Amino acid sequence: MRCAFDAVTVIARAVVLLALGLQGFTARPASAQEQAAVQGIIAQTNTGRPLEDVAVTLESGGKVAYGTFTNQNGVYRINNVQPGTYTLRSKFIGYASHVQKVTLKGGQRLTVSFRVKETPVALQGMVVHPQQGAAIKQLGRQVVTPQEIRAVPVPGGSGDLASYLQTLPGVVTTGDRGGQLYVRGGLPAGNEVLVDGIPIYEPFHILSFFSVFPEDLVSSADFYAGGFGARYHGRTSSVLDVHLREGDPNRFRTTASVSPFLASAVVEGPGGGATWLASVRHSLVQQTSPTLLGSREPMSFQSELLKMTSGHDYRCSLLAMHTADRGQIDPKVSQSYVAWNNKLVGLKCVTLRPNGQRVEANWSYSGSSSEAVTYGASKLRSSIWRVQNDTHASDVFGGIPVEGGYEVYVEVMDYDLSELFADQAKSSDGIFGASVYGEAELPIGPNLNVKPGVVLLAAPYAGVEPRLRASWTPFGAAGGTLQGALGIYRQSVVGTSDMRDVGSVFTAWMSAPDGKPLEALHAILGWQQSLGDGFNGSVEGYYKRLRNIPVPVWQSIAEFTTTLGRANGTVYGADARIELRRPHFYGFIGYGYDWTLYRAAQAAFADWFGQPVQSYHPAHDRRNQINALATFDLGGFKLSARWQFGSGLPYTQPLGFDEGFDFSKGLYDVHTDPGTTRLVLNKPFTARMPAVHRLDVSVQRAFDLSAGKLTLQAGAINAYDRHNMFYYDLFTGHRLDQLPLAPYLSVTFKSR
Amino acid sequence: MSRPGLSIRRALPVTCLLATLLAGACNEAFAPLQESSSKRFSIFGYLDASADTQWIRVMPIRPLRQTSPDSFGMTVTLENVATGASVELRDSLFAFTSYAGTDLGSGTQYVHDYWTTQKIEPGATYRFSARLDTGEAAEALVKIPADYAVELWLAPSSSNHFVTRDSDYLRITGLKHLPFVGQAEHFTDGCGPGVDTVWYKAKPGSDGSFEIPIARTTVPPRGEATCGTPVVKSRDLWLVGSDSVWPAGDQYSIQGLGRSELTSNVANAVGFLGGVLSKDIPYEQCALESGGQLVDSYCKLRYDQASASLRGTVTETRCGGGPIDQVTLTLTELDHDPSEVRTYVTPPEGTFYIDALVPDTRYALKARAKPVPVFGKGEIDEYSIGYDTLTFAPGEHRTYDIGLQKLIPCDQNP
Repeated sequence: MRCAFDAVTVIARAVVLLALGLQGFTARPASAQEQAAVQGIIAQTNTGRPLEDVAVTLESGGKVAYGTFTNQNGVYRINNVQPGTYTLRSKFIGYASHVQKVTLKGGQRLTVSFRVKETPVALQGMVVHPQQGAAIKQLGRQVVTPQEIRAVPVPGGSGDLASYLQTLPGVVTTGDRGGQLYVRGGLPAGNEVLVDGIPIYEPFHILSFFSVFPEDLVSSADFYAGGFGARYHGRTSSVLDVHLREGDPNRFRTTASVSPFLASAVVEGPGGGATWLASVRHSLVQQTSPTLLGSREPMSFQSELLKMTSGHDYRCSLLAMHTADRGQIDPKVSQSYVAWNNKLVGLKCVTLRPNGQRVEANWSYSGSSSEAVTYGASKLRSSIWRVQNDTHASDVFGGIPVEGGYEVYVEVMDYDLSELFADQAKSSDGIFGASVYGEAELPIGPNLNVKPGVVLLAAPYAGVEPRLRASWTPFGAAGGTLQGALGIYRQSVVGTSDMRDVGSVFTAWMSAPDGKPLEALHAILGWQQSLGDGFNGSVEGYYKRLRNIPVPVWQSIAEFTTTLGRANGTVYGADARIELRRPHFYGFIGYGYDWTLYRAAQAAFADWFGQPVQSYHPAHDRRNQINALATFDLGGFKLSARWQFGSGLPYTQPLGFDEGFDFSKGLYDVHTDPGTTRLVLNKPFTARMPAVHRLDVSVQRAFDLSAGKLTLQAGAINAYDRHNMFYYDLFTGHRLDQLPLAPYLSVTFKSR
Repeated sequence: MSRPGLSIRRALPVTCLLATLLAGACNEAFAPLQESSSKRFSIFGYLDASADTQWIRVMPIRPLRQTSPDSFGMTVTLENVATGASVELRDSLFAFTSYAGTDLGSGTQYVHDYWTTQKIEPGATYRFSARLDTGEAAEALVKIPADYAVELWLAPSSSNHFVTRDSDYLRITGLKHLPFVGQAEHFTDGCGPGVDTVWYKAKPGSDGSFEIPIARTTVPPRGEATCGTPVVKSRDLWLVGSDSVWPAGDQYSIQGLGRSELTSNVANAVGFLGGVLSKDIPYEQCALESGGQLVDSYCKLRYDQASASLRGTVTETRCGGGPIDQVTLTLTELDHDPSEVRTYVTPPEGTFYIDALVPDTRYALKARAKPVPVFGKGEIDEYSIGYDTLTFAPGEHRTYDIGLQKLIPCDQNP
C-alpha cells in the first residue's frame, strides 16, 4: 500500500508541476522575505480525516496576533508574520485544542502539521461554523453540515440532503416527485454526485424530499452550483460531494425512526479493528397515503448501506450501497410506472504523511438501471455501470498548496428507447476515460487568492478544460469577499429524457450523440459579507453557455415517439441570500433569479414556424424562486418552518384536438377514414404553469431516557394545503397536483 | 404602557402567517389551452370534378380529445366564383366505433363530414366557407383544374412480337400538378379478391407535360402463405390532377399541417382543402395491325374531353339468360392503317367499358363468348357472335348493350 501511495505521490507532483508550471508562481515578493509564515495540515487523530474550519491562531503576549481557518483539505496558512516566538493554538468545537510554541525567523516558512482528538462536548443550540452556512461559500463551494440538513422540515425521522438542497436558490425541482434536480439551468444528468468518492447516478428518491443521504449518515457535503475546480470533471452543471460519517469507534449504537413516510434503522459500532455503519431505509408512503393524504400515492423506495472503516496511517473505508425506487408519477395512469436502482461499492484510502502531504485513492464500481412505461404504453430501458480509479494528492510547494491527480474509468451503457426516440433504438455503448488534473492556490498579495487549475483529458477524447477560481478580500477578512470562477466543462456521457413532458422522469444514459460532448462555460461572480451580530449575506451572479444539449426534436403535434436533436443554451441568473445565526435561532431567506434559454435548429421549424431556429425557455426554467427557513430552540422544543415559492414553469400550450389527414400521402376519403386524432401545439414552451408555494412546519422535542434519546417530531408538509400543480395531462384533461396537506408524526430513538 | 406594543409585536408573526395562509388558499384554476382567434377550425378534404359527391371534414378544434355527437351550428357553403352559384353542404355525423388512435387510446369517435352532389366544374374556382352561428368563419378558395389529356402509350406485348419495348408510357398534357399516379391491380388468390396499388412519381418535363414510364407489375403474394399466388384480373390507372401545388414533404405531414399558416390553405383553420380532377382509366391491352399483321409500334390511346367511350352489358337474349361471363369484345379501327385493335373480356357481371375511342372514326365491334370444349368436337360456340360497326361523336359516352343468343337448347349445357 505504501508503495502505491509513493507512486501516486510522484505522479501527482509531476501532474501538478507540469500542468501548472508552478515554478514561476513560487517566487515570493521581495517584501515577504523579511516576514515569516506558518502552515500545515490538521487532521482527526483516529481517522486521519482532514478537519475543515479549525481556527488556528498565533498568540503573542497572551493576545491573538494572527489567525486563520483550515480549508477543506485541513490546510491552514498564515502569511506575513513578524519573526518571533508565538504560541500556535488550534480550536475546533468537539475537538481538543492543540497548543505548540513556534519560533519563526525572517523569510522562514514553517510547516506545522498535527492531529487533534475528538472530545465529546455537550452542545446547546446551533453549532456555529464560521465558514459554513447558506450565505457562505468558499470559491464556489458550499459546505453543508448535518445541522443545516436537520433544520429543514422533512416528513421523515431525520433531515435529508435532498430537501436542504431544494432550499438553495438556483436549485429547481419540477415537483415533489420524480427526484430530478436542476441546478442553475443545467440538467439533472449534468450533476455529479459522489458519495465517499463513488459516483452515483440516481441519488434522489422518487419522492423528492428524500435522497440516499439522510442527515444521520452525512458527515458533510460540498455543493458547487457551478464553477467547480479541476478535481471534478465529466459533468457540466453542478457537483455534490458527500462524505458519509464513520461508525462509532467506541461503542455499539442503534438509531431507529419511523414516520408515515419512512422507516429507517442505523446500526454502528466497533468490531474487528474497524468501525461499522449499516443503514436500512424503506418508504411507507404507499401504505399510509390513503389514510394520510386521502389518496394512494403509489411510490416506494428503499436503500441499504454498509460502511466499514479501518486503519490509522492509511485510513481506508469500504462502502457498499443499494437503492431502489419505483412508482407512478401519475396514479391515474395505471399502466405507467418508472423504476430505477443504484448499486455501488467502493474503497477509499487516505493517508496523511508526516510532511503534511495528503493522498487519497478511490476504487469504485457504480451501476444504475432504470425502466419506465409511459402513458402511451411505451417501454423504455436504460442501464449504465462504471468502474473507476481516481487518485488525488495535495501538498504544499514553496508555500503554495497544490492538488493533483488522475482518473481512469470504463463506463458501459445499454439502452432501448425505440418507443420514444425513433433514431435512438437499442444500443450498447462503452467508453474508456482517462484524465489528469492539477490545481494550485496562489496567494497574490495579502487579500487576493487565485486558484487556477486545468484538466487534461486523454480519453474518450483529447481536450483541455481550464478552470480559474479566485477570492479577493479588499477590506480584510471582516470586510467581505469577492469571489469568482470561470471554467470550461465537458460531458461525454449524457442523460437523455423526454423534456417535452415534465412528468417524464426517466433518464437514459448514453454517449454524447455524434461524439460531440455536452459543453458548458461557467462564469460566476459574487460578494459575501458578514454583517455582524450573526448576520451573513451574499449575492452571486452567474452565466452559463451550454452547447450540444440533447433535446427531443420538436413536433407541432403531441406524439410519444420523436427523434433526438441538439440545442445550445444560455443561462444567467443571480442568487441573493441573507442568514442569521443566533444561539437559539437560525434562519435564512434566499431569492434566486434564473433565465434559461435554449436555441434549437431543426429542419421542420422553418416549415412549421417560419424560422429554422427556435428559441425557448425549457421546462425547468423557473424564473423566480424564494426560500425562507427559520428554526427556533424554545424551551426544549425545536420549531422549524420553511416556506418556498417558485414562479411557474414553462409548458407548450396546445390549441386543441382535431383529426388530421396527410394529403401528401394520399387522397383520403374523409367520410370513410376517421383520420389521426392529434393535439395541435403552439410553439415550444410559450406558456407558463401557475406559481407554486408551500409552507412546511415541524416541532421537535427530545427526551433523554436511560437507554438513549427519544425524539418526537410532529409536522405538516404543505401546511396551508396549497394546490400546487405538478403537471396537467393534455390528453385526458387530468391535473395532477403535488402533495396536499400532509401531517406527520415521527419517532426516533437513538441508543446511548 | 408596554403591553400594547408587546401585543402588536407578538401579533405580527401571527398576522403574517394568517396572510400567508389566506394567500395559499387562493388556488388558481389552470386553463392549459390557448384560445386562438385564428385557428378555430380543422378542415380537411378535397373537391373532385369527377366525383359524384364531395365530402369535406369540418370540425372545430376542441379542448378535449373526446368527440361529441352534438351539432355545433355550422353552415358550410360552396360558391362558384365565376357564376355566383352557391350550394350549402349537408352535415352527416359519422361514428367510428372501436377506433384505436395511434397514441391516444380507444373509444367512439364522432366526426362531422359535409357533403354535396353538386357537380364541380373543371376549370372553375370555388369559395369554400364554414361559418359558426357565432359568426366565426373559415374560408378558402379552391381552384379545380381544367380537363387534361392523357395518352396511354401501350408497347407491343413481348409474347407476340420479336421486338420488346422497355415499358408503357403515360403522357399527360394541359395540367400543372400531378400529385398522384397509381396502378391498381385487381387480383384474386386463395384468400379472395384483393387490390394492390403501385405508385409512380411524376415530374413535368420541359414542355410542361408529364411522361411516366409504367409497367404491368406482378402482385406479390400476401403475407399469409395459405393465400397462394395472386392472379391479376384487371388493372386500372388512377390519376389525380391539381391546379395548385399539392402538399408534399414533412411540412404537410400530420405534424406539419398542425400549425402554420405556411401549410394551411384555409384561413382561420388548420388543415387542407384541395381541388382535383381525377381520372380512372383502364390499363388495357391494345395492338396495332396492318393487313392482319401485327405492327411493332406503340398503341396510343388518348383520354380527354373529346374522347368517346362505350359501356354496356352482354346478356343472353333467346333463353332469358343473364349476363355472360368471359365475352371477348374486339374493337378494331377501320379508318386508319395500321388499325388499333383493342380487346376487353367481360367479368361475370357481363359489363364492359371501353374508353379513349377516337371520335368520327369507324370501329368494328365483335363480341364472342369464350368457346367451350365438347368431347369429340373440340371447342364450340355456346352463344352467337355479335358484330357491329360503330362511330362516335366527340365526347360521346354511349351505353350499348349486346345481346347474344344461346346456340344450344335452353335447358342444356354444352
